Amino acid sequence: MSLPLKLAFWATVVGQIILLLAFIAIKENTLRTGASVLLQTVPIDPLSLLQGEYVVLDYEIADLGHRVVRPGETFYVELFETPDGVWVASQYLSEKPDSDRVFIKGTVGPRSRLEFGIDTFFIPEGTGQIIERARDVKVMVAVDSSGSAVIEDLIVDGQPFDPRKITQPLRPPEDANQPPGQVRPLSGKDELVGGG
Amino acid sequence: MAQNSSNIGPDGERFLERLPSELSRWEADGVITAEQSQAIRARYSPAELAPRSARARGRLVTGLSIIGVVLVGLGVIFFFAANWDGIDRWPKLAIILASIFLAHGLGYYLRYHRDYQRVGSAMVLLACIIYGAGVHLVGQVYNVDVNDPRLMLFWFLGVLPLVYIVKSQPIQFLGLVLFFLAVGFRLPGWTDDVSRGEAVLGASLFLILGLFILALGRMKEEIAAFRPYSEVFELVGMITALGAVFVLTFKDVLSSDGGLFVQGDTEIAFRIVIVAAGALTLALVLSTAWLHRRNEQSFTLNGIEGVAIVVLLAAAYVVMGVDGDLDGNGDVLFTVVFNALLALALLGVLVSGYLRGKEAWVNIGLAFIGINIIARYFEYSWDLLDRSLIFVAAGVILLLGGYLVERGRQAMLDRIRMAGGRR
Repeated sequence: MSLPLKLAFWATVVGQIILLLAFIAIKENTLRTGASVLLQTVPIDPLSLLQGEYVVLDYEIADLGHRVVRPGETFYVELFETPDGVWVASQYLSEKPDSDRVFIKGTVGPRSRLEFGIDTFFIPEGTGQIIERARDVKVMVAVDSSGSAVIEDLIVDGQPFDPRKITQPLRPPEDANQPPGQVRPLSGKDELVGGG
Repeated sequence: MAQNSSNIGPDGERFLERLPSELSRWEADGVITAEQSQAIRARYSPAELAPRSARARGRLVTGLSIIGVVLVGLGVIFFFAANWDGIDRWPKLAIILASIFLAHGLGYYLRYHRDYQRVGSAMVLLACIIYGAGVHLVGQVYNVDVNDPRLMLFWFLGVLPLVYIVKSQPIQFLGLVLFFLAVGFRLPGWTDDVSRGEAVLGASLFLILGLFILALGRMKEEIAAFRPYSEVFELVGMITALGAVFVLTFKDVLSSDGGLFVQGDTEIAFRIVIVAAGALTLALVLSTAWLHRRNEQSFTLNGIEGVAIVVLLAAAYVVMGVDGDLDGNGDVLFTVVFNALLALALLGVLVSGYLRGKEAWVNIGLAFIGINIIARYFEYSWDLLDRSLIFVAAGVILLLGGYLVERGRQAMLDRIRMAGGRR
């Protein structure tokens, strides 16, 4: 192998590492410097072959109401915090707001709802149903000054989602009034087995 | 230096297998000098002059290495996909970065220091797969959207230089597959404003890109330095283009429902890609024709192949922009046109493969003919016949077809081997 080809080979290897490190650095920067906001969401549970199981997060602030929008159009959603700590949309702007405001950048997706690049949360295999069955799911998000967002945490029924504390799938308690082998539907009073 | 690796003469492999012993005998008999013998040997690569048993062993090593790489690669992907909560973020990222570096290092050492070309290349291929897993792992750690098109693009960009640096066909294959995947993941974003005809747009785009890669492969065959890259480019480009034409042969895909087959606007990036790819393909076809003439080779077959590429390229642009409601029969007309184009293209692949002695082309052509017959059978019989009858008849047709195709294939491959063409 000639010297230029040797150099090209190792330059490519270093390039691969740098590309991954740059990808990590951009996300870490948003996580470390961005403002934390809590957003209301509804999860759905599919599977990716390359990345494993995940939940798709459908945010309340993604709803554009009756606005006439074009797929691919960019919106800046200005956020404000409600007394219960959840951040909601105050206005949808096509121009970038001042940097002293907290806002998140979204693009109109196929269903005329906004997509923020934080619509996926990866979870361990077999735990998707637990999130899907929860009463209330919120997402803690870091938003930087350009409106880019990275998920910090998933809040399931008021508790940060920690898959390591889950030892078995969520099961409703046995009900004496139900025939053997049958269980009653889940209710909000049920708790995650082993959950925090 | 192997100057003649793709043009091994009329006696083909059998001639090359005999050549080393013949050269020794001619040298011993004083027919040629030692220098002349050396010069003749230098025209061919060591692999070409190796005995058949050695070549078969080499193929076995490649096969085993590739299977090993695929299994380890899948294992790595599934490990990170399933067990991500078992390890914290930073150790996980450190493991994947170290794995990429180690796999590349081991591949480099085996291939270039120990001269284990096949196993070494397989290790570099594994490093490329681990790098792809790494890109997706970073996406997973930071919860990047699962269909984010940047992930495949990053993977492709990381592998692309190695397609040319490491002269390995499996890495070339991976690079081309990633190219098509990167485009495929970007496609939905390009067609957000399209209300109907996404299948036509997708098939047309892949037809244009397939022809571009095929044309690139054909041009590489004309330039000695790029010849090692031609075979995989030609095969992947041809399969993609044939697959895209195949999709456009279905009457439901081309349902115009009054008006254009495609309705709505595509992103400007999409239009730039199809115009640029089309222009480049035309330039490549013309360059190949010029190079072929300069190399003083027979122009007829090469010229016909070039014309076929241009005709299919034109068909892709026409179907994207034409009014499908031609007196209410536009979809029928275009279905017939694309079926005819596919039939002619497959005939061309078979003839070209036969005349050039390329077994892979003949096999691909026959495979597409078989798939096309099954597809046409189900497409037109589903609404007309009883379901049980459809499956019984399909089974009988397949058995008969299999017998006839196998007989024809064997005869054709025997003729290719007799003619001594290279695969």
